[in-house]
Amino acid sequence: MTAEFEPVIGLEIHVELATRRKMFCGCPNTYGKEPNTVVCPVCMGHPGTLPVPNEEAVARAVQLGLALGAEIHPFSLFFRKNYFYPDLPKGYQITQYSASILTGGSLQGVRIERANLEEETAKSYHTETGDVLLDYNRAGIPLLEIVTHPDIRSPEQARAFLEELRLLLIYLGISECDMEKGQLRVDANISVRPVGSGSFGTKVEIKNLNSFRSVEHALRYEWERQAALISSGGTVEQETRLWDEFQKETRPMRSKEEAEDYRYFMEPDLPPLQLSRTWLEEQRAHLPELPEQRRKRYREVYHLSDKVLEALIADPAYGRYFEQLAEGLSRPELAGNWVAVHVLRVLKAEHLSMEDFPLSPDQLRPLLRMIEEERISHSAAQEVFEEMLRTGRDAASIVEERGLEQVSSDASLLPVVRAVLDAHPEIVEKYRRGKTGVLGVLIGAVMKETRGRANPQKVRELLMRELETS
Amino acid sequence: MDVRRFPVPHIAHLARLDLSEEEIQRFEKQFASILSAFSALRELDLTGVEPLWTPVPHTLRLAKDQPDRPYDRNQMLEDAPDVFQFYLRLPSPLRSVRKKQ
Ligand SMILES: [Zn+2]
Repeated sequence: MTAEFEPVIGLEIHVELATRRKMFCGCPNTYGKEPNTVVCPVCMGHPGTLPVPNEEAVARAVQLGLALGAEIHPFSLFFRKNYFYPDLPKGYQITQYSASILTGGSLQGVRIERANLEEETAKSYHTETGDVLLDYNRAGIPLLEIVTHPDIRSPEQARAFLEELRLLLIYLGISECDMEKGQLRVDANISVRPVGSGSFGTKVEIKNLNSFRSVEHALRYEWERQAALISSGGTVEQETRLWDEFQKETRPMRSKEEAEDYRYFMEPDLPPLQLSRTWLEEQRAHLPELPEQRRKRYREVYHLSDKVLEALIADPAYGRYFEQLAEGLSRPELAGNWVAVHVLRVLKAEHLSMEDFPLSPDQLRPLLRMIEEERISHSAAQEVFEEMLRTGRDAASIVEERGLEQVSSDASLLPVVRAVLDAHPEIVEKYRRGKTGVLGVLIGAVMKETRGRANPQKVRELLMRELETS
Repeated sequence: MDVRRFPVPHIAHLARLDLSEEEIQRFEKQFASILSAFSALRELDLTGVEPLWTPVPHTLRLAKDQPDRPYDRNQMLEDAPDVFQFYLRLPSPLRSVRKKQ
């Protein structure tokens, strides 16, 4: 049924900004502290207190705007969004409503409608007796609300867009985007329409999406549900539905007892937010290398394969490590492979971040140089790598102790090569009659004699030379 | 908006205010008089007049990203109506909606 209907998807993303203090007060911006230990009269909404916006939060929003190619408004406003709920101690949330700091811009072809600076709400817990318990540590953490146009046409595209946005936010240092900590939250809206139709259907909002995977699954479920509903003559109702991660379905949210009526009005405690041209230029100068720019540079400078490239791009720290490691190697793609395959395998298995990886690029580089110089084989290198991780010893001493150095000199290999030829006259005979494929058997025999330490390329050369001349 | 019919019960409900019939009527009258003052202003021809954001010229001061020490928890919880294990305890807002309607 989904073949006849195409989904029209838009996303609304909330990102907590990784500033040092909260949005409108001096409390530190923290996570996981004892309840109500990171609070003050401002973020607890005491009467008579005044908000002072955090310059860094504004700067982060502007940097995202620059990265998205958005229009940055040097004049924007704060509004009060009024609603009655105890997670908002003031009775309203300060947001930007219709006078956003950013509008426009795009990522992966998905247009951004706007981004608003806001403040986080408190964390609330509901008790069995129907009371609400509140921890205001989170109240007032700077929040950026990013809204896309309904430009997304598949659940996979929604997920890919979110992955790329997350990467961008991490590269910009705007947020760590840890969804388990609620640093990044996503709501999605979706309608369906007959393929080829230019009109829009009734849209449904989906909440409670705890991972990018659940975004994708929930959108697929909802696409199928709406398509089936329309095909059987039904109509889609405009509503908010909750994704149930265990049942893998969306369900209508208990309908609100009243229509949303936030009575927005301009925040009288905050004059317009005005940004000077010089200040905006400073933000542009602070922009780091962005994921797409890094991809381009890695392709051009290091000639990495796409698979290795994406592995290195996934975390800015991977790229930093790779670049340091590649320094001074004649084959930087070897460094790319080693980070993408061996280093990342260890990080994933041990749940480590790059910063916690026990070997520095300077410690690992000598090992890669030995591979480059063909002094050790790839399998020996892996053995040395494991031992370096276990003991922290340097590569050269492990190679020496274990006798792993490849034997490449004529003087050491020639006697072995001759002995192997003498021991296998029948294979030599086959070779001379034109069955050159048997060379592999002879190489194998030499490798066995040298317990794998012979340089196979060198062995091949010597064998061929001996077979031609004798 | 029709100034004679300011929706006092609706606004009171959104703010979870429990008003008596007598109060509703009094506030309706007061709002009507306030709003009619504004509607007189609306009749002025304002073409070409820049919006006034503030009667006194001042610009928004931004704070440097330097955290202060948060307040003492006990001090902050002193003013709370009810406390349970260092959390503020409040009645569910949904429950009070149901009571009212
Ligand atoms: Zn505070």
